[in-house]
Amino acid sequence: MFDLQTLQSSMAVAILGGDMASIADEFRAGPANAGARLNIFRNNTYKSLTECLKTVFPVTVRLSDERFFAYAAHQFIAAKPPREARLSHYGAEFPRFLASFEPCRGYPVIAEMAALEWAVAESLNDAEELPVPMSFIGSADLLGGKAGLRLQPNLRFTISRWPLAGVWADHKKPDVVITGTLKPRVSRVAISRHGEDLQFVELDPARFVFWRTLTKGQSLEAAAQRALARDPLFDLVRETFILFRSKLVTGVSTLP
Amino acid sequence: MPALSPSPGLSPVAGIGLRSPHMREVLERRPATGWLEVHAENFMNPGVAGGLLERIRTDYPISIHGVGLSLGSARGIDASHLNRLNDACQRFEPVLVSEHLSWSVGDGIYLNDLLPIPYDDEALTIVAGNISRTQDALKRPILIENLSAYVGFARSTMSEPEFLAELVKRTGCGLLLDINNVYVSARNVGFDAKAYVAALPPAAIGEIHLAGYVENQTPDGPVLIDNHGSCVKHEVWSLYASAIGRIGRRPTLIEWDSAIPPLNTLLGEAMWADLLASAVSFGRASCPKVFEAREACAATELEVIPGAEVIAAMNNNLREVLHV
Repeated sequence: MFDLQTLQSSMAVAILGGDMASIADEFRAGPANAGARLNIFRNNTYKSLTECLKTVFPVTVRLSDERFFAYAAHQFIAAKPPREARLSHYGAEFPRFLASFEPCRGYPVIAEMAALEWAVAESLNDAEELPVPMSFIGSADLLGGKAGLRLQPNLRFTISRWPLAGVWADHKKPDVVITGTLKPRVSRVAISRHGEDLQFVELDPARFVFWRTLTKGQSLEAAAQRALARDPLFDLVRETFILFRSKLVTGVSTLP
Repeated sequence: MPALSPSPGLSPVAGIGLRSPHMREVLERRPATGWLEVHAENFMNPGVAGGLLERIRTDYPISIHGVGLSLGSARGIDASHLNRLNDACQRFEPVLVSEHLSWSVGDGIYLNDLLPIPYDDEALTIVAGNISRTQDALKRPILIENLSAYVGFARSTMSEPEFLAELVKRTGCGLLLDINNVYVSARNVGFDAKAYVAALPPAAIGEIHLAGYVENQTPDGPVLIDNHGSCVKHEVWSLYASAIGRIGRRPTLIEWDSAIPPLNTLLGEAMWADLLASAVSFGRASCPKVFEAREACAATELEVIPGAEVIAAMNNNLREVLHV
């Protein structure tokens, strides 16, 4: 007879993989077939995790068709089951999974919408800090070379070959029918949360790299250099002012 | 660990499970309900949901119900998850904290289902150790909830009530008696539901759960699935009436986790739970007067929450459950 740890390992493998016969001898179900009853646990696991993914990726569900989404979710759950009980963290790898999932290969917009929805979910779940007031610009040595800006922790970025933020905003409600043709256009979007409201801002390439570099903890100087490589007319003073005005700066630091 | 007061700080009245679709409505309407229960794992982030609950808890007692601690795990519980549960308890100051007699983490994989454990000495030692560690971390007793059973373990050497009673004795924990789960288990694996309730230590029961189930037909016959997706069934109301007749009134939760209905439906179910508990507490002789009062209410307050349909259903249920 297995010890409890071995039994639980065997059950986990059977529930994910479906081979209930391998553990059925451990169980009793009266006149019923114990192996068949064990499938209830497998169904519960896949169904509840699929529902979890559907909640996080509602527009991806509607873009891809609910039955197809359920199929893709099942494959994803089997390949990448959750590692912790805090399910708000489950799904980070789903956009990348969809991008390489063979049936989706011809429709990259599905994976890109999933990436946008994951960015939304993270923004909703991450902290909001008080912004530094605009008056701080005058009192801090922002252009001293080693200055860094701390941006809102809930700030997220997505880049897509289609302008998907508008599609998401228009179609997150289930009663709105998705219609029309989506014309390709590269879209770089910053998503941030202020209270209960999400804000989507479309960024040009220079501003996109400037904001992203700052969120990685690099200095204003380093971020500006990367932005200037995208746009020689990049105006650091003006762009810094825009960040403060957008209430995205929550702190100023001097980097070593 | 000191002996548990069954439900400290909480009146033995009905409350509802608070799920995300209803949070803003609860904030706007401030509906009359005795208390609210939330799933711990939904409030372990610094985001929007926690902010809403901060506001809600100023008006309602909160119970935190964990679904992911995996107290039955032979490998022990996840220290990070326990820390997060502790943080949630510090932040929201719940009147009750509860978890399940189950495991859900195997080899580092979280299966998102409440999986059963065998009832033997090895499991008893493991679960008691995990409960004690949790109570030490939280610095408070917790309530342990019975699961819905679909199978039993060949290796079990004691009944579930015996196992639970021994956990109470060893750890000082309390019990969360899920009446729907008792009924579902009794039907699925074959035992007397009333005898199950009678075998539990009554003083340890600090909370009751009520929920709906579905009945699936299989080649082996019907199997009941605890899906938390429908109204409480007549048989479960009957068992509830029998249980509180035996142990007395307890804080009672209406749980609904799938196909979540309008808030009024939950409030109506909670109101029915309170009425039924009152009727049982005062003895059957006064029950007809309860029905008359509810019928008068239904006749004169058709537009009043929770609505005429809920009240009519409630009256029908009350008659059937108490056989009057």
